[in-house]
Amino acid sequence: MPVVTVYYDRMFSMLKDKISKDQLIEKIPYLGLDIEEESDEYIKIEYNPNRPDYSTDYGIARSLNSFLDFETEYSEYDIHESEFVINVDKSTEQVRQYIVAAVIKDVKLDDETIRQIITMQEDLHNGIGRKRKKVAIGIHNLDVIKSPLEYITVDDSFSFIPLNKDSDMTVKEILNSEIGNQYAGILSGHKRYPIIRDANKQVLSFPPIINGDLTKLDSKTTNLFIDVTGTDLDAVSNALSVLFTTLNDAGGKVHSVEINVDGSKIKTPEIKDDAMEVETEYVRSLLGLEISDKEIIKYLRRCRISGEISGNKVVVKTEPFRFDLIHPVDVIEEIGLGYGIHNLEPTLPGSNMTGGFDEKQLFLDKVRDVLTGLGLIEIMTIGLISEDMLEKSEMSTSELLKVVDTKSIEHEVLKNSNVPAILKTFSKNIHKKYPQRIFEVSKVFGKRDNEIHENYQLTVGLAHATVNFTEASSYLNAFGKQLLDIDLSTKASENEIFVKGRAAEIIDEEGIKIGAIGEIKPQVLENFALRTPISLFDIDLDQLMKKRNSKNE
Amino acid sequence: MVRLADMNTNNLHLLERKLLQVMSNRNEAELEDLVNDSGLTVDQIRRSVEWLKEKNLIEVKMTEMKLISLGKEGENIKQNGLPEKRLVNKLKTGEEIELSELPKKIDLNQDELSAALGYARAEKWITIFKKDNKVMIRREGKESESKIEGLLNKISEPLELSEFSSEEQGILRSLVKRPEYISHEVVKKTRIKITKDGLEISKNIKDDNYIDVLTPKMLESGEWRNASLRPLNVESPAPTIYSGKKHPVRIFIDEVREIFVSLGFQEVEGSIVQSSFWNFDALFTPQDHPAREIQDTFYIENEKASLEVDEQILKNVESVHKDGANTGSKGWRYQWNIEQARRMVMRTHTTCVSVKNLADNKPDEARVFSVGRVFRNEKVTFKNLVEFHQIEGIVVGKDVTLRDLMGLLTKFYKKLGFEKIKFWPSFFPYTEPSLQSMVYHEGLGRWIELGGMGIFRPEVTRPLGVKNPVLAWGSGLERLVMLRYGIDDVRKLYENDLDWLRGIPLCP
Repeated sequence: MPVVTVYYDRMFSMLKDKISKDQLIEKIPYLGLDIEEESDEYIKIEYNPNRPDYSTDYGIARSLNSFLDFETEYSEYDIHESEFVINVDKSTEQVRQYIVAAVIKDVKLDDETIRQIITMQEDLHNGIGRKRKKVAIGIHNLDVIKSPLEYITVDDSFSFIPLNKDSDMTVKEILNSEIGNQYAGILSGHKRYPIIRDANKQVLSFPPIINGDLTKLDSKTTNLFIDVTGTDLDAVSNALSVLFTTLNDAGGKVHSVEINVDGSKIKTPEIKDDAMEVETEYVRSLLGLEISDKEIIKYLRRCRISGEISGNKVVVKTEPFRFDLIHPVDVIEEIGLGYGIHNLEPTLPGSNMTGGFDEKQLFLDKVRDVLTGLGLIEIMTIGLISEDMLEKSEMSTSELLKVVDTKSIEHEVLKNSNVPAILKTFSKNIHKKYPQRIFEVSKVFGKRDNEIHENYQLTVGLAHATVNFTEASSYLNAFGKQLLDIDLSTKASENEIFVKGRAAEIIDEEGIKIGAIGEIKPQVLENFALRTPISLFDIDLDQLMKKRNSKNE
Repeated sequence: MVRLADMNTNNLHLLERKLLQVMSNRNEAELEDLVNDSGLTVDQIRRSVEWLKEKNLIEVKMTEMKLISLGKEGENIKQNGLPEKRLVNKLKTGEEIELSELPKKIDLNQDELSAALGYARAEKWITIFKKDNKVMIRREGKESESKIEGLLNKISEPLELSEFSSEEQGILRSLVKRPEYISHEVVKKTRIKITKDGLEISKNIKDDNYIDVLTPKMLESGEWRNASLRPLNVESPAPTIYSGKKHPVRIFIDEVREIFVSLGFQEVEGSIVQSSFWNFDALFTPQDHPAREIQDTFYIENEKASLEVDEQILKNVESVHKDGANTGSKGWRYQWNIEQARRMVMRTHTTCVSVKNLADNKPDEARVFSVGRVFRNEKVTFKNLVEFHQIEGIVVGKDVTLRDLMGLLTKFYKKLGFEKIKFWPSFFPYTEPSLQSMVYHEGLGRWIELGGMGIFRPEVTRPLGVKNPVLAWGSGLERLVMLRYGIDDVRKLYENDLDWLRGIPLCP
């Protein structure tokens, strides 16, 4: 979750009324924010990725002013004209279609402000920008740029001086070097690359890779040119909305830029006149609050949303960066915030519903009851294991379901048996008192008829100096009798993990194989550094359950 | 420690009394001797020795003895003499012989011959010199019993190292070089000696009219009437036995299930392996959302779901992603791709189970819960696991509200033992409004974050055919288990350490 650092001195200067540090810390969570870290000078606030306007302290201050009733009116954003134009070449459609831009004048850029803006840019890149694929932002020194600008494509031999370098590099070189390879993947497969340059053919930017060195900012910059390019028009426009509104709050004057595409001209930033309609009854019923229409308007205003009652609806308009409001429920949440979540009194809904346990889970509960009654201890192990564990158990590793890109080889395949985990558990407990008698009931995974299949598997492991097949057999018989009053028999067979001649299939009363039983091979015991023999049996519980269900019909 | 004055023979175990009696006759003995004298097993003797030692009634001395005996070759030498002696005896006194002639005269191989020559020369029994360019050997005739022979003859049975003089020990050390002459072994001996107190007490041990063990035979014959059962030391600790039990996480899961059922909820369960459709798409998570990346989610290699889902639901979900369909939403505005939805994952939450349940039943009213395992592709640390449990409850009803959700949570956490609960706003991609809760933990004396909740977005419920609002809440389970058992490291829960599992009480 993204985090913004808010210095108290800056925050207090942006708030329109007095508030103590303690009160501030108390109120902030009720905006939907989390305080991550506190110090004497600042607080670090975690915000949700759907609100990039909170990526700077300007955004937080803006919300707080309304939320705390320090401000009861908020003005719309003034966008002035400018003479800046971007002519868009049709070829950009293929590689990075959308571009919007804005000019911001008279911004005071001190160190902390620059830091805040960079954080915002990063958030926009990573969040709605989906790691610069959908949105890439360039912030430039306006004073070195001459209009009209052009947004064109070039081939990879095109060269310019990239940010912080002293000499030209070609597009090809940039993409292959460390300054370019992080995002080069976004342009893969393309032969022509997007470039923004001004009337003097100076390069502002090679989106989404890197800016030109020419237009870089320094502490003396006061006028900015912002370009936002990307593959999604909404994302690009939303990003620009966050940027220009924040810079406006930082004291800048916002000017539009004309984008000339295919003959049509649009001025960005565009402020859409979108309104949303929300039924007032819906507000009341969803929140469970009997509030009046007037109160609804008041609570909306606390969240900087303007509302007008129209019959049984409230028509709302929001600020340009509130693209997170896509459905009336989003607006209703805002009303709830404006009312104050801490003011909501819980109520208890009435219901005629009676509760119950899932049948399968009840069966498994009984399985556990029988086994604990027989003195066995339940273990719980994980569903993803390493191939190595299967190899140690001398079990086949073909036809295993694997996961992609695991962060650890301990968790690379879906287990098709509890046996490796049982053996591993025994090997971790060799210094604990014997006899050790354990069991596990959990899901194992495999393929049946070409489909992924999961079933509950019971595995019982017995370990001590004189354990043998007979002991496992006794437990098996007791299990069958105690659980379902059935006789489970054993039919000699071979099995890769058991000693030859000491392995059998477990057969139910109808002759169906439901599991296996035997003494573990000494080689396997050696692989796990075990020093007592182990007997073990395995039962497919889903099959057993089917039997029980058909028995009851 | 029991004081001697307070000790009476009734405080002694049957085995202790037996051993003391034997020791009072012998005074001092090896462990093995006691087996013969007492008729007890080694294990029984060991145990009573321990107890008596604790009470200061006997002393135990552990000694180590180094025993020296003859090796295979040593035995041979004793029979046939040292090779160097045999060599010398093949020559007459004063006789001279060429070195190269020797192998014919004596049955020693090249190495043995060289060694023998060396030793014989060292003993001055022969001289080696050159004559006409040939190497010659001459017997000097000065042999006597070599010290080595003397020593070997001394060892007719294993002897303790201390029984050899220091000169002899020196020779022994040199014999180590000669293969299989000498063998030694270290033997540990336990000497047991009765103390003065022990001797005192043993005087009081008499054969008396007490029975130690009541047998079926005595009951049948009525013998028991003639004597009483000896009092035992009922205050001494008994051998440990362990019971079977469920895993503590399982016990906690069952408690949570009980709570849900008592609140009128029906348990459901579902597959762990899910299609992206149910895990993400049906939950209105756009296909390029970061949570869907392989960094966070486990995708199953080479597996695609056949997606046996109602055609209508598929169409609805596609629509709602694209432009909100008829839910009143703007949607995500992108082209939804069914192939992405087919990718199979280890479910990242149990919400896919709840949502599938809603799609199957389309209830107007329902209360449903599940507790299940979920997976995240993360690095395992003291607070994060790759696989953990999630609890989830959902409520469907015509008039359910956000405040009802808060009320249900309050009741639920109360049943878990948390009297105080606070709510504040939060964000989840498939609920709106969303809240988070904190409960006050009496034991820790502070508030802890627990659980998220919200009302399902209509973009989730309408495509599935559910018209009424749906309340939902969930939280991880392991945190609560760790709090109950005072554990800091979540990995401990699944280490399956038998000491921990055996030691967990059912009433913590």
